[in-house]
Amino acid sequence: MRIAPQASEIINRDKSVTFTFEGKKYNGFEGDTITSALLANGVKILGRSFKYHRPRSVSSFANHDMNVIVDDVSGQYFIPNIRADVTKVKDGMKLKAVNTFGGVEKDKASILGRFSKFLPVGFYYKAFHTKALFPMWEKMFRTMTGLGNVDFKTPKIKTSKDYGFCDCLVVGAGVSGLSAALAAAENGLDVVLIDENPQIGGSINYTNIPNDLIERAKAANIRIFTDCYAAGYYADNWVALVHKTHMTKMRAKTLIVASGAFEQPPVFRNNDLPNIMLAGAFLRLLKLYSVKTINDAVFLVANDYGYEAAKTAIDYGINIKAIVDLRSGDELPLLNDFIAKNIPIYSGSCIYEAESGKDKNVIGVKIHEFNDGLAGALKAEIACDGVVMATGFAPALNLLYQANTKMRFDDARSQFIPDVLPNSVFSCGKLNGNYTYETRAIDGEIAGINAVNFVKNSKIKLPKSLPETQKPNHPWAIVEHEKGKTFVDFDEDLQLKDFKNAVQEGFDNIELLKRYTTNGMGPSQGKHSNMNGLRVLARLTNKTPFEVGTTTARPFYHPVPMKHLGGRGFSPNRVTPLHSRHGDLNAIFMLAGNWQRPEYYARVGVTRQNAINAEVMAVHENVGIIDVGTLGKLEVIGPDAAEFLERVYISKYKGLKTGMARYGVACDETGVVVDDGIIARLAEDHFYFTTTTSGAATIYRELSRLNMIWGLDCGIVNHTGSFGAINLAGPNSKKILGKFTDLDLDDFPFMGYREAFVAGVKCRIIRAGFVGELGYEIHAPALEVHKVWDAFINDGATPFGVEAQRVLRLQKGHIIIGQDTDGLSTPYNAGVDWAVRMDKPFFIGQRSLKIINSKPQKQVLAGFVLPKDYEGAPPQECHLIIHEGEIAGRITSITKSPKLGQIIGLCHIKPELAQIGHEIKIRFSDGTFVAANIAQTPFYDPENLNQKGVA
Amino acid sequence: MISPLSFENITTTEFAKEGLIIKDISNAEKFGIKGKGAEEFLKSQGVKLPEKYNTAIIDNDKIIMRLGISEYLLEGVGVSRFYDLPKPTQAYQVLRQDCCLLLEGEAIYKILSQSCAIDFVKANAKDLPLFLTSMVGVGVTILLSEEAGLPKVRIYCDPTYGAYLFKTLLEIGGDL
Repeated sequence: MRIAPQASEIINRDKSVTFTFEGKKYNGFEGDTITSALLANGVKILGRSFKYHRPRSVSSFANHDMNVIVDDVSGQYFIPNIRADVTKVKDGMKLKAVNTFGGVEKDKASILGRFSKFLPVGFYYKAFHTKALFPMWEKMFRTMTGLGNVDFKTPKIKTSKDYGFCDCLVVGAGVSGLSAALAAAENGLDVVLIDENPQIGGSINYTNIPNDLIERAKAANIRIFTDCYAAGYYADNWVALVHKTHMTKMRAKTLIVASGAFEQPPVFRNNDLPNIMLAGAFLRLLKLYSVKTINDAVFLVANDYGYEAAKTAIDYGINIKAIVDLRSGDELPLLNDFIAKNIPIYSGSCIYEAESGKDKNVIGVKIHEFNDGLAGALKAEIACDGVVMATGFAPALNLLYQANTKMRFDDARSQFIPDVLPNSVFSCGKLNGNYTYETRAIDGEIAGINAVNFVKNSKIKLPKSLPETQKPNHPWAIVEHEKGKTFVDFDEDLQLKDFKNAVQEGFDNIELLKRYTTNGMGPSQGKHSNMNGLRVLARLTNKTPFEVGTTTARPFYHPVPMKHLGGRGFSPNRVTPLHSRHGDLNAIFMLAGNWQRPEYYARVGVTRQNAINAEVMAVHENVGIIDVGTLGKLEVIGPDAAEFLERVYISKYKGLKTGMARYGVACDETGVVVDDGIIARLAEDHFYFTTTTSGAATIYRELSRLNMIWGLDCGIVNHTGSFGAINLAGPNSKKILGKFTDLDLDDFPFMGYREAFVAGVKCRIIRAGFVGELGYEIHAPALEVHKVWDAFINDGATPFGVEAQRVLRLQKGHIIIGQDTDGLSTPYNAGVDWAVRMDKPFFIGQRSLKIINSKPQKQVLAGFVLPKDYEGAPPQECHLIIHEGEIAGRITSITKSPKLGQIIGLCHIKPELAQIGHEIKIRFSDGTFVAANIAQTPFYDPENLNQKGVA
Repeated sequence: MISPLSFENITTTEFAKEGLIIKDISNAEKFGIKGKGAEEFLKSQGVKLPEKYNTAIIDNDKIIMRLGISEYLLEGVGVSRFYDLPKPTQAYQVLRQDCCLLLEGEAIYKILSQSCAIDFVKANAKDLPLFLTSMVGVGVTILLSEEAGLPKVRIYCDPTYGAYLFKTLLEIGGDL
């Protein structure tokens, strides 16, 4: 129920919102979370548990409440897995609890609870033994498991991401975080302070701590982000900040982690019933949302915080039926206030079990003696309608773990504490074991000044720290019960006995235990269960918690919406200077690496294949033109230019005549082919060379690196983007080129290089023959190359695309690096051994190639053909070649040549099977085979008469 | 207009909204040179050079950007004539056909923060700092300056990335 307005509440009662939950209409106020609004309306069951479908309600109410997860089905597409404890309710929302069969009130799957005996941890590993039954199990489990439903109609939502910078990032705006931020800002740092809650202040907002930290922080020069959490820590203080609408990648000079601690639920039978909640949830509901769900309360406590919560309950008129304290004797605080009010206090006691009524809500508890972690005799049975628990915390160390902080286990405080922090990272507050206001405030100030000293290299004196007097964490708030339902992990319905079974089965290491039991692998990622799981394992294996250790904390800290991660999805793509020309010619574009290239040029009434065939035949019979501007285009200039190339490429270039070009293959140190291209000599000290389309940036970077190491007298220039390039090819290419240039084409030999004006543009021309016909590769400045293209097109040259080029080059047996080669291809098994020149002092990969060449090859590149009368579907690239039942090779390139009238291809194959004419068996994906024969390459014009222009 | 942006038939070359202008200014003449002899060549042509690398100077409507210890990019009327002049040893000219986008206005910091991992806010625009960095996945050179108290950046990139960069910045700018 909603109580009267109060100063501490953060709801706006002037603005009401209407929403539905499970089909029923409810009202709430602006500022309400879904959970607070439902509870204010008296809704008892807010969700169902993952495995046994037990009724659940609010538990932690702290951004990781595993019990209340809903789908919003109100929009065009629904939003799954909303955390109701922190998501603000909005007008018009239509909400549905996740993971129910027939609704949250009468979930039919709750019958699974009766079979829990047959569903211990790891039961699915055992159930899947029979292979034949696997499909049945899979179908059943896929139906039964999972939380919200993903709506596959959801469009891609482009969400901005931004980069942020600051001197000091403070994560957590509670007492210590505020103190740290103030200390840092007041000493001149640019401070960013974030908090996952909608307001700063942390527990200041719902406890009775009198201080002015919030107002001071608001007034200071601090950038404050609320509703924002640090999802992950990365190298050099790079922290992913997740806001409601987007993600910020924050680079901080220093990081102060003041992320506080998670309240930990004590374990006893039926500790998951609705209206059994942690003290923080109880206080936040009461003070921030003015929601009271308990009238007759039992408090289960083991620290001062529990008594503070009990005092608040009294202030709000809640009838405290009993306070059950796990501790006894000297550990107890002064209890005069409660004794004076005749509130029964059961020290050295525990709740042995809770009972539920018809409405599934808790209706009473059994209080037993509690000695040395074991329940003893029954002390009392007390009726109540709610249980408030405060027996301990687990520090939120996730970010610090990700930052490689070394931890120690503090026995007095029974918690892990940062021991050795990375340079420039600081922690404070509850993380350091400080729980009282004074100790947290001082600890925060120390962290803030440490940050200042780090950034400014100053020596500001640190205030003196205060000793912590509280012992906030009970070392064993766990009570075993013979009938089970003692939940350790609420996400996965893991009970105490599940841990025992796992350890008995040998999973006695914290990482193994986690994976076998799935402890901490649910939506809350162990925030409420890892510490108890660790304690259970420690006790079962007779180890200390420190010896057991923690599991690895990886990003992300909280669930992060996929749209935040995806951001805008930057996907750089490049277009050549002729891109618009291709569009005008109806090009169908494809991505080649990150380049948009014409696959082919569509023609009305012509199929794709026929269009490609026509382009191929145009090159063979007349003249074709292709945009090869994607090639890498580099220059090396200087007295040592030739020497440089001799070291990089496997062939020789010192003797290359000016005005001539030569094929070049580059290897890495292991002798593997990494790139190829044509190298032209412009002058004695000046070379211009191409690289593969995808290799330009990498090769330029590598060559620049090598040039620095070698210190040769030459410079490397990358002209890839500054030059466009065209390949004009076909028997009539010389004729058409002659129309637009004064260059003497009769004095232009194969593999010659010339500079001349073409269509009024100063061009670089190489007479090369990649596509197997008389051809000219014409390079021109990017902003002018269209003039050359237009001249040829207007004179009748047929544009051809990448697909036609692939056919043409395959006919010639020309390889494509990366397609016909792989990470093991050397010049010797890639068919370019003829280019290797071992008779020079050095080239990269030379030493490896010497070794490789002294050993038998395991694979070679060979050509093959299918019979001309073969009419079946062609094999595809990567189809395997099988010999005597074993894999003997694979296809690297294959196509049907319209010129030759048959299917041709290249394959990697064992050398003993690569004899010309040898029959090979190619296996299709469906397991059938087709026969082919090894053939000599080039398949077309083996004498190269056409490309030399002498045919 | 022939420009790297027209590589993809982009018809809009200027975008404006409150506090933000994005313009294609690729057509300005450019000249690039690198190597140990670059400084000697430029000085012989009377070009003033920035003393610090990764900074620029503006001299009579010409922008002289020092991209590294011995690499320069010049922009302005008449600079392309340097291509035809003989160069001293160890001076290697670089054909610059860069795409250049100009961003002006108070909102540019928001665009930059969404596209580039550099803290431009803390940079001193009066120093004309140059940043050789990556923006939305593209290698770029960014020149930060200010005019009448308003920030301004020129973003240079390989022209083949120009259309992508322009469209991406327009998308971000449009969503602000």
